[in-house]
Amino acid sequence: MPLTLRVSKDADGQTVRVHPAGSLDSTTAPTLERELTPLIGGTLKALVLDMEGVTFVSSAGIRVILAARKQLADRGGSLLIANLQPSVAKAFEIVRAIPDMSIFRSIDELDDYLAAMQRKAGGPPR
Amino acid sequence: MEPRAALAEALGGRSVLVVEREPDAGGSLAASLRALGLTVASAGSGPEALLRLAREGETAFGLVVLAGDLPGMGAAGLERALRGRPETRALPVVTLPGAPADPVALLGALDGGGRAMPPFDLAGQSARLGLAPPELAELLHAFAPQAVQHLADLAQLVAARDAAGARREAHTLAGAAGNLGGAALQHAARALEHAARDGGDLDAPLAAVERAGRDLLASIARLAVEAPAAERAPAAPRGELADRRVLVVDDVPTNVDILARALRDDYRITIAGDGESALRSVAHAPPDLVLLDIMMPGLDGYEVCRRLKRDPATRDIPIVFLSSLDEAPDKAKGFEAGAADYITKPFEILEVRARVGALLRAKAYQDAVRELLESELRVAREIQRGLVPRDFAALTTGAVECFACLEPARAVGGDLYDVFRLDDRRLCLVIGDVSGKGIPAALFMVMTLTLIRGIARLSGRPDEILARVNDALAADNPSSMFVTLFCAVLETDSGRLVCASGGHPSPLLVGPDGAPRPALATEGTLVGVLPGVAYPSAELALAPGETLLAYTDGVTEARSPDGGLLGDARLRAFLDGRRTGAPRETVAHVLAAVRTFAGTAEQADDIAILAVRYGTPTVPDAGGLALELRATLDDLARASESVRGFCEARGVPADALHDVLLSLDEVVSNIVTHGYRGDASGRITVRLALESDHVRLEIRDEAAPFDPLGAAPPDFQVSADARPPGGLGVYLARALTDSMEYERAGGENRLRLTRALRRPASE
Repeated sequence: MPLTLRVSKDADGQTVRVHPAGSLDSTTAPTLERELTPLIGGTLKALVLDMEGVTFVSSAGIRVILAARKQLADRGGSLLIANLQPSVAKAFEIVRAIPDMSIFRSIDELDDYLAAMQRKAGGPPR
Repeated sequence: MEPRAALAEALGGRSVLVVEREPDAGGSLAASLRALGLTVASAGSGPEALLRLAREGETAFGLVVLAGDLPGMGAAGLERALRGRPETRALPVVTLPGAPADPVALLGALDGGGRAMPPFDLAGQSARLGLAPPELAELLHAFAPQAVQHLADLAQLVAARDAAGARREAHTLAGAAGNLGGAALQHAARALEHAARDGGDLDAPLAAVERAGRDLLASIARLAVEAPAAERAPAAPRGELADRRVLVVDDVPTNVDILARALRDDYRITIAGDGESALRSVAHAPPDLVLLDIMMPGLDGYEVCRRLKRDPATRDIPIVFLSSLDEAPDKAKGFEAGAADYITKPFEILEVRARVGALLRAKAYQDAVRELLESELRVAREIQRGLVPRDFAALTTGAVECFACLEPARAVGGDLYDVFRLDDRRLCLVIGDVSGKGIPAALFMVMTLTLIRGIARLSGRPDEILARVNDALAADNPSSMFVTLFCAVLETDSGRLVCASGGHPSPLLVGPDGAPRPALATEGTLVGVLPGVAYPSAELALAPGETLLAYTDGVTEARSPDGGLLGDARLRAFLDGRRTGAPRETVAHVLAAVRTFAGTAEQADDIAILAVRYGTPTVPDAGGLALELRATLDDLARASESVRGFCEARGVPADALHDVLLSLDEVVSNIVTHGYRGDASGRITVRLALESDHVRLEIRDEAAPFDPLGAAPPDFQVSADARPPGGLGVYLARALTDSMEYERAGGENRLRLTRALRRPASE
């Protein structure tokens, strides 16, 4: 299945949200990579991946997400993921990607976390 | 015998009279003669000497030594005076340039009975050798101690009655002496050499050699009055052949020296001191010509020559023997060994230069002609390769796949193949073999190919094609060449094959359903000999997965190094083990088998192999899904859609379907990326079957062997983004499926996975 993407930026300009939809497999993973790369460059502090619409993720997709996370972390930013579908969550779990990532059960949880971080640091989250 | 002892013996107790300006000065001739253990009387001038001789009696003295710079009447005048008087005429006289007195020169004077020795003809010998006189003088001085050694060794060998050793030593001495212009010593040594060869008396010839040796040494000693020669600085070689390299091989350093000096203005010179080093030098950097001595320790010149002529890499280097063996049998043996020329020593440098130059010019011409021919052949080979189709992916039609190869035995050859479309349903296949090899066969091959292509477009029937090609070739064939041809037309949607053979060995049918067997029973007539021949037509049908394998007799008539033939039976047995491979692999395997069988033997005949496969072998599938993919991600996406559609239509639960699709994605993307490494023509087969309680998925590819079960799992101790990439996909697939099995068979990787339709809820 093809992959579509919706991107939005928060009002404070510090957080970008990406909503992929469809199948994140070997054929479509390069598309996600292409879309994420320009977003990560620069001073972005938090990238949110809302995975509600993603029905399928293969190791190729997981690799793109892990790479994005690392690139962000190198610049002091963070990648936050929410709304993994059960089968997708299972794949992440199998490859033990979860301990390294910030994965939330819902967007509300994620937003609470974000807000808490901003309060704690008195600024953008680390 | 040691010089001092010889002197004492020759003098027999008599004194030596020294005539020099200041006999009592330190460093005088008189003093040096006393140092030699001789009894010395001295005179300070010519008249004083004459007086002394008259007073004490000429018999009291055994030798008169004159200083070269004697004042007054001078050394020459005194010598004339002594000759003029009967009492002193026989008295040995020698003029020396100065102290210290050279005992060898003294011996020479004593032995020669006092006769005036002719001075060494430095000018004449230098001219002969093409050297400047001071250069030759230097070489002679360098030779003197070697000559003393040779004489001593010779005396020992004769005393030990070692005839063979004496012969060798005498030969070497004769050669060196002759080279340098010492003719008397050369002849005496030669006489000793022949005496040793013929088993005659050696003592008398040895005495003659020793006499001649001492004469020569005395002459050389006289050359000391010349100023030491300044070494002529070697200039770079000049002339049209200045970059040619000449290897000079001789075990006597003097000989090498002379030749090197004489030739180094014209060519680059390399030297070797014996046969073994000569062969090593040639192997390291082949020269353009070899000047070769014959008598050397170890390998002699004949053997060196023979070995160089045996090796194809050095066969064409001209070899010139340069030897003092000057008898007809020696020369004949030299030419028999393969030499281009034979020059005897002592040589005239003009002659050596002329002959070397002529041979090098001849070789340069030969090399130029060969290079021209080879470069034209290289171009011709490329043209010929371009004539036969090589883009087989473009020729793939429906279920038909083909591949072929062409390997001429020489640069160009007479085998041919062709594959081309007659229309979108029919493919024309041709393989053939022109009589002979090389350029004539290649030209005939091009003509045949062109004719077939033209005629096939007019007539789609192989029997007619062969008949008309035959008429055209036979009509204008003065050299009576012929070609064997097999021609077939294949319907790509049905596998139906119509074919005809013009004297060509029958192709084989290779398939999953039985052992390889010939496609045709009869071979028909050769093409191109007689016009008006009819060719029988045959029809057959290729079964799904069956391959038509056509070849030329370069395959079946390949010879192994011990002379065995590959043969039909061996070819069939080989194909029997590879019945289901794709055409590309089948052709590669057959060619590899021929090369392995032939081993080090040269390819004797041109080779052509053509394989055409109809469909892929299908396994009986009860209600399953079978897909053929190319190794592209697009094909993977389409395959995934097919699997999804198939499974959803049959009520496979979503989670099982998800895991099956994920496993398919992981396995196939690995094959595309790592197995076929991006080669989009790689084939992948996917088969899916639904059992009562599980899904069975089989994925096959023809890439290099790879067992995913053998791959190490990712290192989960390391954080995810610090791990090297890879291994994740297989790991995922294994985790999501219930079983995974790997097999390597029929040239394929085969992976089988199963996934239960329903898993217990705790999973």
